[in-house]
Amino acid sequence: MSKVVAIEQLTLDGVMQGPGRPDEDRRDGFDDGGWAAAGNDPAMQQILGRHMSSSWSLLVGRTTYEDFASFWPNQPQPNPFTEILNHVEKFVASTTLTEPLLWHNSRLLKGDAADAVAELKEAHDKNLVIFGSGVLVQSLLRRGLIDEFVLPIHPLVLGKGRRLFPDSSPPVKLQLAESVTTATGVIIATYRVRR
Amino acid sequence: MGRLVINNAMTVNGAFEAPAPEPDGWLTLDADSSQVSLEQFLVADAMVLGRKTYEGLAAVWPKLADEPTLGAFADRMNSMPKYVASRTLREPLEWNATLLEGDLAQSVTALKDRHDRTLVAVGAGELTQALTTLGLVDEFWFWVSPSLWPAGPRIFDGVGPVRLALIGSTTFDSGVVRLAYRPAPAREGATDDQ
Repeated sequence: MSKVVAIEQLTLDGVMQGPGRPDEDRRDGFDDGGWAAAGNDPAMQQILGRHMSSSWSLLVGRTTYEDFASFWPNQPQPNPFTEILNHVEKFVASTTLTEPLLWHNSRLLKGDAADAVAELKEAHDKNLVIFGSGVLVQSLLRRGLIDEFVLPIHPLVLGKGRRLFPDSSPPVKLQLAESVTTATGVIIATYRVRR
Repeated sequence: MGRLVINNAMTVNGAFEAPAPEPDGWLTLDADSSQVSLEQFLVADAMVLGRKTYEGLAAVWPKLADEPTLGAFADRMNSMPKYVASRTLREPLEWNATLLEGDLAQSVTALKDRHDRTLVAVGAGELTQALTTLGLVDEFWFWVSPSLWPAGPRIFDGVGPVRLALIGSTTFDSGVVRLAYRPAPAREGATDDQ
């Protein structure tokens, strides 16, 4: 039985789109990409690194997978994130991709994403860690399949862009497990989903 | 010179309307955070409210003065001076309130000149959006309850891009996190309006 942990960079107004780079995600004409870069510091890396230690697998939707697969293997080496992401087992929820997936150690979750993840949670013994993947997060949240959110909340309001919790998002009670304030003014809040 | 603070409770996803306490609603209440909240109202000079927020609060708080758990808070809410921005209301106003007339930027700047301490604005409607856009807000205080709630309007709707600097965070045992921000100066070469 594994735990599903969603690590999501957010603005204070809940926008998740394009945190890392200007060109990361320009859907709907979004031109504010890269807003989380200023918040990257050792405290952030330490907390993210804790979730990317030996006992984890990556769980992502198609959009995030394609972005990661085109970006990380092509970064200047050596690069700890590239090495970790190349090696880790990757599960990709998609109804449009077909096997074989070209990035090392990737497996396609076919059919309904929530069904596939429910099954995977039962069978898998490592944490399933989600980055980004807003559509996937919504379908898992509706089925009660997410156990924990790690939310680095950056000190800005964008006023546009895709949100992690859109208007159709279900009500969920949370329990604050940890909050850490970084030197760059990011508050990293870890919430467990209350059952 | 007083400072203008916008103070609001919200959920993790930015819902803020109808703050009914748990378990029916999303608002997490606990003795520690209530005490801190009361203290910040005790040391403030006055409240600044839009019409809708004013009418909503004025209808509720006078009835809560005898509630054992809310009495001290209600006493402060009821006795505090209030300034109400409205184009339709006429004086005299009940609930210890004075009308803010004329140009908003001028009237709020005059208020800040007249007061030495904190002016607390509550709500997330037309008034607080205008105050934010006009650059009149000195600090934002958010009380984040540990819930995701079907949103309705969200606390930052219509505000547009604002860069902030975190100046404090307090975590309570109940899971409520109080975040305090001030508007950040525009960065070198940045094109934001703020």
